Amino acid sequence: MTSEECDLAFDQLERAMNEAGLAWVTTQVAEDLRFGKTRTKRLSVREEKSDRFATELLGVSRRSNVTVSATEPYSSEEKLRMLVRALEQTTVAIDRMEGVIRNRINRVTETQEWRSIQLVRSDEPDREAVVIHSTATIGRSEKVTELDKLLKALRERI
Amino acid sequence: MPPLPDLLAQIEAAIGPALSPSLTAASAGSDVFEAYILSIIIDAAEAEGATITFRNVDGSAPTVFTFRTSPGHLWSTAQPYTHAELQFPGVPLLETHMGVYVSGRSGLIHEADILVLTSDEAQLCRQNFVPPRSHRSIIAVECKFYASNLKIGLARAFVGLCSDLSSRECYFVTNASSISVEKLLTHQRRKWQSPVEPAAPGVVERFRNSVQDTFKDYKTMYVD
Repeated sequence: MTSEECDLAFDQLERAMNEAGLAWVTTQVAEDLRFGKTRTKRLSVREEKSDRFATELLGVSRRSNVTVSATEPYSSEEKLRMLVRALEQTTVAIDRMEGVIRNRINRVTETQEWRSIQLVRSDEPDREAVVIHSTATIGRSEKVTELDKLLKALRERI
Repeated sequence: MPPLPDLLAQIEAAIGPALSPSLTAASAGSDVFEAYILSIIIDAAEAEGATITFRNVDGSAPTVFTFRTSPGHLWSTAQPYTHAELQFPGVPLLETHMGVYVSGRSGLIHEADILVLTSDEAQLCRQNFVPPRSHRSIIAVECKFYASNLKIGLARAFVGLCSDLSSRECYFVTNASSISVEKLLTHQRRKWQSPVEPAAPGVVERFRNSVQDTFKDYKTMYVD
């Protein structure tokens, strides 16, 4: 994919995620992109005035190399990869995590019926509890698998 | 492979149906992640020989498991909160709780996303309406679910938290990656694991083994 294609794909994916209610995800990604990626740089710096007398006495150069941290912008390809990973985490990874939790409860309660797991937040009383039912929602896991394949195909093209 | 516009259109159409209905808030992702990490800790206990039982705060066996994902008091009966009991043969019973307050060395009260503590201490809390003391806990876990990279401030906060908690082990566990976070925690000799997610079985295994090791040490304390 060219940089232009990556930028177009990023915009389209970001819009689709926002429309699906994942604005909190695209906001997190946007914050990261604004900050840039951290890199270390080697700089040649002039000695401080206070050090000059000592360095002149010792006869060493007044310039020295130092390593500093800096940021640089992400490339178009990196931006798209970051957004694809964010989408994977909030759809595919979450679905797989729910599966692990369900299996864990099933193993402990082999002889006992259970209905659901409720994840309750007392600091957000208006928000409904996240509910994981004892059996996976019919159809959703297939959709997640399909999305997983599509995202892998996109990643291979970046 | 379909042309790029078609592939993007297919992805666009697949997002909605693949999305968990409650996942339209950042906190919902964190909630599922915390429960996922709890599952791994229980796996580690089982691998080390523990018998696992789930109990509600009133002592009953749950049919609906209610886990607290924002911090609250361990003794709270506002909901029938559930915890896991971990019974290793011949050693005092342990309890695993999600989203509870815990008091540190300074006497300040902190939040633990997951806390493994002695059942004796948990009983004391339920009877006296006080938060558990961190030195009576075996494991405290800080869970961070992020869609993108972690901010360095999260690691700084964790380092500060660990300096006041006297749990046997404190873990920083996340699904995301960040070189700066990992460097800071390593430099500060703090335990961290990332990215812990089902697509990274090697990392999950490493975390499970590390927790299992902590349970092994706990058992060893009671060997004659």
